[in-house]
Amino acid sequence: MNAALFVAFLSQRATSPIRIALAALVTLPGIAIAAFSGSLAALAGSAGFLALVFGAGAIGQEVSSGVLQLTFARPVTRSSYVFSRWLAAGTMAVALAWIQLAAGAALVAAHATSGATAGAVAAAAWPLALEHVVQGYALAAVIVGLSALAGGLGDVALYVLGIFGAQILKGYATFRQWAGMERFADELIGTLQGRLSLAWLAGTGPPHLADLVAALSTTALGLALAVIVLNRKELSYASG
Amino acid sequence: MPRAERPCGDTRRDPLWLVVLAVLLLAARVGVTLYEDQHPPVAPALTAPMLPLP
Repeated sequence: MNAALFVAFLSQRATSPIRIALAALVTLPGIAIAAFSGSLAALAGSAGFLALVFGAGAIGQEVSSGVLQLTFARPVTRSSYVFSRWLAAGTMAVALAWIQLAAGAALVAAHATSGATAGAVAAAAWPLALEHVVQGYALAAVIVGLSALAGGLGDVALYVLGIFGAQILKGYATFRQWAGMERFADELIGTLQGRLSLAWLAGTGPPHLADLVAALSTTALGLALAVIVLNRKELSYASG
Repeated sequence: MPRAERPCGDTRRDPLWLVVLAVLLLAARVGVTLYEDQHPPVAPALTAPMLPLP
């Protein structure tokens, strides 16, 4: 990891009006829904979406703008570049999701009628906070991996195409009764959407270890893909 | 940024540990998923089973 690249990426994302607007579009209504419904369920999954917002174009935009050629004129390893981008996008998403969770939990607890309800809010909040960490860094790895494959914001197009393609594949496999293919497509959808629930840590629902292992695997695969692709990318102003 | 004069070797080497970790986690993922398909996890009982009175 390169601290200078990490800080530069955070600063760049924090000063992007469109990304901040998109982040606000996710976080603020989530807090309002949690306050009105008296439940933190509305806040699940926000770290994943925020990771997509902050991670989109992490590598592709630098390739398209010609910044990478200048960056790699320095003795920076390409893997440390990828790790810095991933860590920055994930950290920003998790931090914002935690702020949202803290605000939501405070409002729900403030409206709680009894001490027992406030205790239940706290019990539900910590698995969600852990869920944000795993999911945020997993989806940051997915979008960074896709960003190494396509220039500009092509990673967003690849992401959307991936979800639509997997949905179509799942529908077709269901129609043809191909159980194995249906399971594979469902796993692909879960990977791209960052499907994860750690509510079982608080004793709610059965423990699904598969989702947790899948999220960790997605993180490693996304990073490995990004590093391997970037290591083989020939950069020149002529290649665009 | 590190100083340009500082030698850092090959800047395009693939981190072997990451590839190994990704393969191991993928294998664990397939294993755990298949296991949970065969043995679906059950929620812990919230109440104790009833026992006959002595």
